[in-house]
Amino acid sequence: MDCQSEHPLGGDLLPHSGRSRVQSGFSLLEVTIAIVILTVLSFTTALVLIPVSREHRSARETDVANASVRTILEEVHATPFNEILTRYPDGDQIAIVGLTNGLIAVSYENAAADPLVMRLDLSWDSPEQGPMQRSFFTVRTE
Amino acid sequence: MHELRSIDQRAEQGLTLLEVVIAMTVISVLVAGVLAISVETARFTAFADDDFIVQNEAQRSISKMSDILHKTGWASVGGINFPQVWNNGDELDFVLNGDIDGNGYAFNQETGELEWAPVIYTARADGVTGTLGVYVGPFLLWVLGSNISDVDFLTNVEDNDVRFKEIRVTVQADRVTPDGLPVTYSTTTSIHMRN
Repeated sequence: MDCQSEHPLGGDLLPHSGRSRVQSGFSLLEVTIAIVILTVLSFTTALVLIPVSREHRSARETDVANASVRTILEEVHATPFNEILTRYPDGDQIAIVGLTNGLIAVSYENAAADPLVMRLDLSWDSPEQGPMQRSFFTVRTE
Repeated sequence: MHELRSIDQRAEQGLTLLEVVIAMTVISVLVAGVLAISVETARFTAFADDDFIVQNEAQRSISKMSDILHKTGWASVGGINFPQVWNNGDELDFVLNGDIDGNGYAFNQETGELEWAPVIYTARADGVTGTLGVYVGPFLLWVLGSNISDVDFLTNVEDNDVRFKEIRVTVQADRVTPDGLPVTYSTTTSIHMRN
């Protein structure tokens, strides 16, 4: 038995041809196996993108939520002190456009106090991460 | 011996046409699948990248603008009232609160009046370069963001719903992916002024 016939893939295809293995090139089986491996790798790469996509979506949701709260906080600081409780009554809920069940709940530690400590509880339902919640505080004084 | 020769003969025959056709079909399907996945992956990555960029640019420019406009307010400088909105909201002229008399505070220690630097700043987006900036006259002083296609300012003068101390700002950022898909992000926020 010569060295060609000992090869597990292509050696025994040409046992008496006298050509070397290098001259015979890749067998169909080798090419097929290589392509299967490449396919598996490609699918794996594509699967890795799924969590990346989820993370990207979550980051965008968080940005939208933070921007909404920031806008409310800026508006609160632009509101005359004696109008704050009228515009933002205790227990008020403000909807956030662009977020599923997005709400900002307004509450105060003591609505009659000056300085007035205002709390904004932000919540929304993230399709990827479930219920999300954050709290923000600000202080106003006359 | 006869058995060995028959194996050799079979090996020399190679693959049948049917085997080759089946193998080529399988290979073609796999290659097509790999190509499709690769193209979609590249597209998705490019879109997600551009989407992140426009969102980031819009938020960054809003954040920088907030830092500046927190120091502005209603003031009369040289007989002109500020802030003033121009070109249907595309431009905002404003002045900044600062220590003018050198007492260490941005207000007069005797009267308590806020002091305003006699420099008129203009915030606007350059439609050609996509740069949102603050200008003094024709000179760009601060760059707030890029890829900004539109900005809109609103004060209490233009809309009574806007609070007296508030400037409402809408920023829109745009990009186009390598595939020609437009990516747009628009955000509106309120910025409270010094007074």
